[in-house]
Amino acid sequence: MKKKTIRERINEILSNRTDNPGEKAKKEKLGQKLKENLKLIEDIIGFSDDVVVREFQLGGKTGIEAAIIFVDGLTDRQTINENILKPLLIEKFSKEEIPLKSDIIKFIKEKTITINELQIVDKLEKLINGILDGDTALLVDGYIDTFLLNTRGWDKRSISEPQSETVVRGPRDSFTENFRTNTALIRRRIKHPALRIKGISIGKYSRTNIAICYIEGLTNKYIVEEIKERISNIDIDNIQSSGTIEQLIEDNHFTPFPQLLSTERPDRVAAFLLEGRVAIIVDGTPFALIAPITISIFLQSAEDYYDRFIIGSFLRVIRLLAIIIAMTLPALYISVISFHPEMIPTQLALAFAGGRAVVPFPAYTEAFIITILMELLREASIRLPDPVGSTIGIVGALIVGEAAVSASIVSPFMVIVVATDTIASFAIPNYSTAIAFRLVKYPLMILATIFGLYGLVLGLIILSIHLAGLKSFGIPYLTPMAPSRLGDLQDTVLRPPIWSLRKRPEHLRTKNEKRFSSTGDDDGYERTR
Amino acid sequence: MAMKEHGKLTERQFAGIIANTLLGAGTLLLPRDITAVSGTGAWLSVLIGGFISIILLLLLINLGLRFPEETIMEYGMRLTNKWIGGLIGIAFCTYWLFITGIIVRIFSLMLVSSVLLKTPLEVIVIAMLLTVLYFSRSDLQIVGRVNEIYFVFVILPIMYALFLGLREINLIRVLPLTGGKGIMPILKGGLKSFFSFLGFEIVALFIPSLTTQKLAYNYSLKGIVTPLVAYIITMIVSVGVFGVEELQTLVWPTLELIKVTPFPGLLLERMEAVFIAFWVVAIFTTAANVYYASVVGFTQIFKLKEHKTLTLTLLPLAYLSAILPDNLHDVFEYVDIVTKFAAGLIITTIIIYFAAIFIKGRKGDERS
Amino acid sequence: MRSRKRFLPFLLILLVSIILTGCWDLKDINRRVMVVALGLDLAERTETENYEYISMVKLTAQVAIPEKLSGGAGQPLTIGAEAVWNVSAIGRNVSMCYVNLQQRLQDELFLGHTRVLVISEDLAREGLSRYMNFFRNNPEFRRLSYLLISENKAEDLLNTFPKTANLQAIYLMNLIEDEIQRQTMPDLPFIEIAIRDVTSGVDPIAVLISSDKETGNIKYSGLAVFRGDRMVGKLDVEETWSYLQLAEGKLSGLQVVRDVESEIGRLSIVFKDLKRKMRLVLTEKGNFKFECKLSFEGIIFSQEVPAVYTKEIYLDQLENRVSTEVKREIETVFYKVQQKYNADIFGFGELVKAYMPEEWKRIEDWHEEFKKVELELDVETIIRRSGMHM
Repeated sequence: MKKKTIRERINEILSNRTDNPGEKAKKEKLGQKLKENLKLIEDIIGFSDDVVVREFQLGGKTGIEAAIIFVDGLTDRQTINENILKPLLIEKFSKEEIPLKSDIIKFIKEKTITINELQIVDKLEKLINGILDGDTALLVDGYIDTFLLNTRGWDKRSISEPQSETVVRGPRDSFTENFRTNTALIRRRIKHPALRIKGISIGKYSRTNIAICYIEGLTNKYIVEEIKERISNIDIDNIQSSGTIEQLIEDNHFTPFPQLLSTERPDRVAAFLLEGRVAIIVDGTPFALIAPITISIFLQSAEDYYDRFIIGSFLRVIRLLAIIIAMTLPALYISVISFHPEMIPTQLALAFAGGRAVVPFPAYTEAFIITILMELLREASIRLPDPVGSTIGIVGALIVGEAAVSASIVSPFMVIVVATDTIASFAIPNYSTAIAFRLVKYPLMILATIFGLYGLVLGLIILSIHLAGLKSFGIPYLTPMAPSRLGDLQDTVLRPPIWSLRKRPEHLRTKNEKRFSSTGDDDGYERTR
Repeated sequence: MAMKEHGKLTERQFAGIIANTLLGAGTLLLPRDITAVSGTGAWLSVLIGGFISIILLLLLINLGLRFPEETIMEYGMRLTNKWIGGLIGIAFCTYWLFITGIIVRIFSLMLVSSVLLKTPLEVIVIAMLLTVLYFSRSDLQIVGRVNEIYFVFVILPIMYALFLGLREINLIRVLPLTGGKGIMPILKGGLKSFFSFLGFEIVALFIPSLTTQKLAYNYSLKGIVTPLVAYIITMIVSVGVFGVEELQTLVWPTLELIKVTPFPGLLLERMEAVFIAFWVVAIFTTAANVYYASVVGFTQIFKLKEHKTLTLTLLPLAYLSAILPDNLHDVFEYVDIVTKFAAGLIITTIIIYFAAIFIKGRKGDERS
Repeated sequence: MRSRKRFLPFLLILLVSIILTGCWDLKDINRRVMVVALGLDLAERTETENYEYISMVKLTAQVAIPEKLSGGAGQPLTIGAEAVWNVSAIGRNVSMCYVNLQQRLQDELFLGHTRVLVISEDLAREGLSRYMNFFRNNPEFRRLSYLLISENKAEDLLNTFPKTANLQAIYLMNLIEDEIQRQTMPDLPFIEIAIRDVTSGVDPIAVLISSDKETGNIKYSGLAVFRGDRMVGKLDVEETWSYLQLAEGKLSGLQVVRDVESEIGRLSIVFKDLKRKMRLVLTEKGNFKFECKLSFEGIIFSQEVPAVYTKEIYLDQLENRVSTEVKREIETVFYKVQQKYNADIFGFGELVKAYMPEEWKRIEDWHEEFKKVELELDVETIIRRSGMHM
């Protein structure tokens, strides 16, 4: 034997000491003896308090020993009692009915257990994973094959209203943290056999269940493949929310703009799925992810489609205005006040001048001070518990604003500007986008401070170049504006009547065999008309 | 060949690139320059200049379509020999580089004279050039997309302003329609107007990346006719509002046009700052597209792997050409020289390459 | 990507260096002096250094005081004389005055909101273009602001405060805009006058304003006629109406004629529509003839006598009378301007330039030619209704 170096020896000892139970589960094997198996399992699970082991004998006179293992809290004890223990204890196993030893397993499976979902496993790792998922493990002495019986049940939040995407007229159910509830919510809205829900388990320690939902025959195959591949490639310990997944599979990290949409509403998910997009459900979080996404989606709220198209279009235009205001208003204020006062009507200009006369700071300092103050207020109001939070928000804004004006730190117009700006950013339906645009505001303000309107425009140019380069799973972010797909343009700023929305979005290339890849796609498409 | 990895352009993007590249500095200077030569017949000069450009453009596209996978730099070197093709290519790229600088200079001059009076010229130039730099590092697809979006922002304000300006026209000043000075001044004006059409030749680099190449003619025409119409209307409106004599005294006639056009009761009164904002976009597209063409062109001539390295190295040259002219009159001189140079270059190139094709007797294609 | 890593720090340094060097054009609105009106007068030639012995000018700037104007809830509204401050400075030309003026003010002068530019008649008679260039060159100055000629001194006009004026300059501006809307005053923004000055074939005109400091009255008193850039004469308000009808096809104000029946009472007619046709003809004698046909449509504004004009004959006669009156008035104005002032304010020269460019090239001095121009005027009137009372 080769002499090992000291370092190698130390490593060996250390790795033996801190042997990862997960590693062990992979390496070890189940044996035939019950007692040994039990010991092995308990060793790996580590004698945790909430793991229950119940040993018993099978009913009848066979004297065969068996045991069930389950985790208290993840299982429905009633089911275990009624549907596992009871039949097994009551059933009269006799040597006549079960000629061969191996048949016991078959017998139990086919004739005894009254559980509606079960598996037979012989791999230790799978068994342990199953136990930790909430199944009950049934081991029979003398057999390697074990049962995993679905007894999952735990406390869960009931379906309630969405927190962040409220609508006036439309369904009010939203996803919960429970995986199966969520997939069921989607199922209930698309009762077609083509709906596919494919599960994967991601996260080394969290082993979170993730489902990729799409419509077979409708969604472009390659988008689904791409998403599947990216998700499977995730190598991380812990997935607790869909946000983590989003960050791990998105195309471009160095941008504030989201490339996947997260939503709480199953009706939106259903609508997106039928457009040809893919939904990702993550166990443990009420937010589902939708991909691929273009920027026009962020203008939409679910309600747009539930009301008449004139109203829907009107609301969308208002939201577009909101985005523009939220992004540019403070910068515009700085440009106009400090660089181009000839732009405003004379009376107004004089009013501005008068209002600012007592303020010791230049316009840009004013703007920065009060916008940052506003951000602080917002952050603060999120932390506070509900009733107090909103009050503080209003009170804070009012009082601070008033006080600031009286103390001549800011001019009254600045307060109006900032208030409008904040309100506008609340009008943006999607939270992540709203934050992104809020963020963009600051560099624009800086540019406006240096160059006035020229700087603001240059900033917007840079922003649009950046946006034009973003892709969401192969689809350019700015579709359908660039590259323009005329058929899709109608649904961007305005909302066309329902009867005019006949075709699915062109850019998703549904039912089309054209190749997609995330590193380069072709913007052109064969013109058949 | 190299362009294919960068992705493709849609037809509309193609047209957008052409239109955006043209609409820019020309609009700012056009009216004064040409009316000086051809009086009220200036619009005819623009028409002539546009016509010549269209013909040259179509010829270039025809040339390019014979080599569906290669850009003009590549097939140029293959068609003739490495040195001639290379020389022509370098001539184009250097001239594009120069134009970038001149255009940015012109615009910055306008900004400094009217809006940002105290900001040093160099700073304005650098700010614009940095944005151009950021843009030029993108792939072709992004270039296409950005141009596509911006087209709307560039053309709408100009059209809007012009239509409002129509109200202010004193039709008498537009007459006589042919300038009353004879045909020669109009032709001379036509050459001068060519400056406003410069930049269309960059399509020679983008033809291989077009998705449906047989639509190239169609969309390139759409792309060049829009600026042509815009220029003619600008000319007519400027002459109509100011009259030929007054135009001679205005350094920035189109800007002044905006200044004297009252906008119906909008919130903002003096709209010229807003229009300057849109002009920034128009100038940006021109300078950025041409700079991009220059960088990509050089990349292909010297057979480099990617164009991003050159974007930074060439920028100082663009900057130098921006600050090279000492004063306004130098700028006009350079404009003149560049126009003549460009016209000559394009015509010569077309002749040489077509002759080479003729001589070689077949469509130069990779297959044989 | 390697190139990105090398690129970013460079970009950052460049950006930061730009930011650090400062914002050059940043000048907050309250650090600017809002000049709402400007006045230009001739000043005494008493400067000892005035070697060339040319006229000195006095520039008066009407500056709005924003603090007083912004008010707020519950504060009394400042109007009129309290809201502005008129400051003056003397200098050799406008730019020197401007600099002198700046020396008296704590903030930078800002001409972006100047609404009116008032020039005194004396200065106008000396010649305008020397002073106009300052404004043409200045990018801040509004090209659409109104250039007015003041019969008194410009400074006095700026110091006249009508009782209902919030801001004197705005009052002036509104007065002018209203008159223009009513088509009783030609629309003459600064740029129009500048264009007329430069363009051969037309002479500038400007609105004439007279004021009375004591009573606070400001009055539109007609048109100032220029030949080249010098003012050579005036037209009063009615004459201006005739000018408007001929040159611009505008409706203008009242037309007063005698009653057809009794020949004593007067009727006031107001025009509601005017169609104007102009034709240029070269006569055998070698001079130009302008044939102009004006078709008016009017209503009876008021009448002193109770005659009823429903009968055809009376109405026809009335219409003829009106036409004759109008024609006479216009022709009087035309000849006055043509012969006495020798200024082509109607723009006939431009018509020649437009329709007969070869002839235009032949002409050396349009003013001479203009003296020989013939005007053939044909006026037609239709009276539609007579108001509420028969």
